[in-house]
Amino acid sequence: MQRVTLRLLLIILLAGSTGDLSAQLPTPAPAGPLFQERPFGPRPAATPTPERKKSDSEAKQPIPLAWILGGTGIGLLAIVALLYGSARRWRSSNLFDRQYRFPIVEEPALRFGAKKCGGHLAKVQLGLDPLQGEQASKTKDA
Amino acid sequence: MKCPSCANTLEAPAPRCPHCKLSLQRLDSKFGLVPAHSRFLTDRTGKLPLDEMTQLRAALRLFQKKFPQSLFSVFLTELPRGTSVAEYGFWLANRAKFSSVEKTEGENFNLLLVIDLAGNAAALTVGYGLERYVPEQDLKSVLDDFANGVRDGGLAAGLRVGLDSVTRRLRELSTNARAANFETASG
Repeated sequence: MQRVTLRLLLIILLAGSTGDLSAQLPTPAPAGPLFQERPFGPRPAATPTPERKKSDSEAKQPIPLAWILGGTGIGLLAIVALLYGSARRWRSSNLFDRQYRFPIVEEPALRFGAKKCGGHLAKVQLGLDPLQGEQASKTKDA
Repeated sequence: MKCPSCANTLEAPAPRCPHCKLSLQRLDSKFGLVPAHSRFLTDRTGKLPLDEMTQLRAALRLFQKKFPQSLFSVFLTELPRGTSVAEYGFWLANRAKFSSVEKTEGENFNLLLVIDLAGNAAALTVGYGLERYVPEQDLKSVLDDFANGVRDGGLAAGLRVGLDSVTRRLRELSTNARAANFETASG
């Protein structure tokens, strides 16, 4: 009997303590901002924008006129040299001006003791006035 | 083949003409020293103006570009009365050094035009290399073109006409000769 009474008392005590616990819990409410400005102390100054490096400012300077003139001159010289070389190559290549050759004669009939030309020729009388030529030469001599 | 002096036909190669006894050594004693001459154009008469000479030299240089084996030289002179321009042309073609490289026998493809203003005549001669390919009739027709050009427009104009004519003929003859040579080699 005593055991039963003791258990009942325990139950009653436990039931009474849970009721107090539920009464102590705060009611749920929205949380405030996580990062709040410090309410006291001086506000630090804004971080200054860093100045550009010196090399950046040098790149913006205009190219010197002498450099421009020199570069243009060198470029022109290179173009002229290229054109000159091309023209020489064009002339020497003889593209549109065909060359003509004859087969070499192995044993020509040598004549009159001559080694270059055997007297194979033709002749003609010209229509010039010989007196005119003589007069011209006399005038020149005088 | 004909003798440049008496124009008689030779049956076989001979050291001297059997008809007139012509030989190169005989002409040496007749003409003496070789006169001063230049590669393309020589004017011993002083009749050609300087600018014409410059243009003609350029044309003769171009001729040599087209025909690399050949050197075409023009020689203007006034030969003593009674001198044969054919003999003189034959002699000069053998004795003069128009090129620093002397080509002889079958490798000589040079041409020489000698104009004798005193005798009012001209002769066109070719080296041994060309005589098989260029018949005498072609040389004669080139000279006829030259003479007509001289009559129509003077000496310089005649030389230009003659140069055009010889270029045209040599071009045809070269093409034909190479074709014939190719057929002989292949057939």
